[in-house]
Amino acid sequence: MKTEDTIRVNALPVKTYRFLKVNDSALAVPESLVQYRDDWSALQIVKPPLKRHPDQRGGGASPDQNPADDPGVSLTRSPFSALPQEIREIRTGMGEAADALFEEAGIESALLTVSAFGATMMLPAEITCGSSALSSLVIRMEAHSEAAVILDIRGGETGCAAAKTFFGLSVRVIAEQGATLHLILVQRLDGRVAHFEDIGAVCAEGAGVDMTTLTLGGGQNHLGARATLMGDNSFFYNLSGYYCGGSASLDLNFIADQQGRDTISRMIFRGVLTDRASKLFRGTIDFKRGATGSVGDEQEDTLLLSPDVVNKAVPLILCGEEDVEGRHGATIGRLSEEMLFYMCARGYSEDDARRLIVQARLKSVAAEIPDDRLRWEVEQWIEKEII
Amino acid sequence: MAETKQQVTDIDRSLYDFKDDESGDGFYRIEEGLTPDIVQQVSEEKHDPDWMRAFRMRCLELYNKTDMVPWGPSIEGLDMDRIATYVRHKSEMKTDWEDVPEEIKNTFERLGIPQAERESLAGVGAQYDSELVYHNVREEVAAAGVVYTDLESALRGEYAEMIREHFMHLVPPTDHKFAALHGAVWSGGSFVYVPKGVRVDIPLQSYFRLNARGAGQFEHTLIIVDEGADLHFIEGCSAPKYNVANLHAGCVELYVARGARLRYSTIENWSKNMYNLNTKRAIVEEDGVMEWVSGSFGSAVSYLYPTTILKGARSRMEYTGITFSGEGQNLDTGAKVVMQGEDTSCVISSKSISKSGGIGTYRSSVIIGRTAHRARASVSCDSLMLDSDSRADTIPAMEVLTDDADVGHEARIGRISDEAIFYLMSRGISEADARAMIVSGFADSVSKELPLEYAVEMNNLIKLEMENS
Repeated sequence: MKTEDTIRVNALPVKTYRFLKVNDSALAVPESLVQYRDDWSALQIVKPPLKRHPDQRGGGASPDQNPADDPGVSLTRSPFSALPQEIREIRTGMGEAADALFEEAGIESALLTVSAFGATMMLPAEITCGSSALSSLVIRMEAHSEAAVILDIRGGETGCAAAKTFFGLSVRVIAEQGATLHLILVQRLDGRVAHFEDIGAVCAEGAGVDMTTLTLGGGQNHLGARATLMGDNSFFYNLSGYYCGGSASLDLNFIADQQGRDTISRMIFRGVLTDRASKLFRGTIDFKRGATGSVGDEQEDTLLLSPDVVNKAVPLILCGEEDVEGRHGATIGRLSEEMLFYMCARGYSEDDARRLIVQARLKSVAAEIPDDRLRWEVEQWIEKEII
Repeated sequence: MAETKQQVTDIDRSLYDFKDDESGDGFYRIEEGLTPDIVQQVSEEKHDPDWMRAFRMRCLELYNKTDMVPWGPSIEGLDMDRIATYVRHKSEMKTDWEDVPEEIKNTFERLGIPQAERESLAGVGAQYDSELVYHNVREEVAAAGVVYTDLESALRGEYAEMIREHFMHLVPPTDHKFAALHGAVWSGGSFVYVPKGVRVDIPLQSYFRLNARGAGQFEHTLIIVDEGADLHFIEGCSAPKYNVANLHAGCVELYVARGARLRYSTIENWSKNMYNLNTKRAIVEEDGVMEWVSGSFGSAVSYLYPTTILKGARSRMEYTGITFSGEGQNLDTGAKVVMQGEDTSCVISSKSISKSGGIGTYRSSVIIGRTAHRARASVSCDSLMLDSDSRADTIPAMEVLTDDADVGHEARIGRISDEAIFYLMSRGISEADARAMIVSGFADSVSKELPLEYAVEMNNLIKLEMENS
């Protein structure tokens, strides 16, 4: 890769008017990128798995077996460029240009394999100020397994106010038959950090990804997620919350690629923009021919708190199948006067009422974090930082 | 409920698909292609003033320099070297229907235009290939000061300066490749001026017929509705089908002054060899109202997005449209709005039906600028898929630059509900009729916005599409 390159990411699956400048986005990439210092080996199992499901691979284990003896979770490593073909072929939200960053920087991927049921894992990422790092995680959910994986991305704020900090994360998921992954990404980076999260998932029959993203910090943020629902009855649920203040930007590209029969996608976005922040939301429900009986639903609700914000939204439904139901809705605007009035009538000042409403919107997303301690931390962060 | 799918037949276009022989001496046809010589010839045919001659040549340069947009349906089948940009009957435009040449008169008689004029219109313009062949306006409407004439006459007459001030100012030739093409070879079209405070109670209509094989039609419609005035303008278009591409790259510029209202209705039924690359734009001043009613049924490929600039405070816009895409059709339609004034509002309601491999795309943009305080926008688009050979895509975009705007957007894609068909069948209605009723009901929000005669025409088009289903 050339030094100080700019790559094009988060491309809309179908282009539209050029003057809107939404067909894709530019991502400025620092001169050199290195492996994130933590190779994810600091995996914390905050809740051990339950017994194996009888249908699982190796399902002959005794139901009374101690989960600690067989946690059903393993972590190995592989160079990104040497990942198995089926993983390399997973399409992500940000697209191939992001993949090239990992290959050219010689990044190693952590491979997390889950064969158990009920585990909750935490993978913290504490970003060092001034670093330019990439990290790649591959999660294979074996048949009928179920787990929650929490990625807690924070840092970048101490000691070097003038330096640029860059962090890029790639997460690829294979969900085998009947498996469910709860993927939670919480980002509380310093406002000077440029960062991206690039997610791709392929779901087999009855499998799915239930994702929650909470973007609370960062300066220039890019998020891309693509779920390919290959198998019948596979699903993709997404709940995203974001808060952008100062001069922060957020560039989103979420795609539900529905190929199997009776697949379900539901994507909900709740955001707050203030100061001079800008946000571009792209959300696509793509019903491929043959996806009979499938349902897709996409809702975006954006609260604008400053006359200087820039808010763009491009919610797409692409449909090549008759027997489907697709819906999307968007609501963009200021705080409801009625709600403010209601709260003021109950003794809150207008500022307090406004703050509570904004915080409640973000806390409703934080409520999906399955780890009590992190959830409490995030709620505290929201109360402290969003005033 | 039986799962068997009904076959939906293609539209019977015999009403529109008849041809007149243009090989005789009665017609003048410019050579195919697009060169400076050809543009010069068009200009000479039109007896253009000097500024227009220079403008056409500048537009040709822009056309050659401008790339095609990287989005939308393919137009690979359109070869400009095989398009004659100017074809006309050798007779002059008439203001008495009886004076129109017989073969052309027959064409418009079959399309019902003179009958419509007698029964429900304040004035009619009929364009055949590149030129107006008939233009007339009722005496009482003319007496009120309403000007409704062909654009060429206006360009040389007492309104010359007004035309020059407005022509391709709203749609500059730099806008896109086919706007530049239009500027280079435009011909025909209408000029309407409604003076201050004048309400035209019954509509004016222009009907565009492209009869020639392998030709283009590039009419320009310029309407100025002055302060407090009110007008409903109807545009209709059709063509016979050929096995070579035809092109329609018209341009519509609408100026709605303070407190004025303009409704612009279109029933578009071009033949399925037509590339319909039309540009329509309106600018609305304070308290003005722009209403678009649009029915798109024909053409092989359409790019059609009426655009409204809500410049004045409290100005508003409504767009109500339906697109019916059948076999071999790729219709990319929708609306664009730019809201600049305070307290402006817009309502966009779009319906799309796809069948027999047709592709229907709803594409829109709503831009609420920094100055559009308290602007309100509501967008809804519904798509109905009648089979899985077809496609229905919705590609809306919104850009909001002020915090006190309210924007609501919703879209739905689906098929005819089995429950609704079952309900109707349980009341003695055949499945085919039930489907046709549901589709007609789906299109009802558009047809009810049209004058009765045109709503009947639109419903007939839908019925024809659904026949034997």
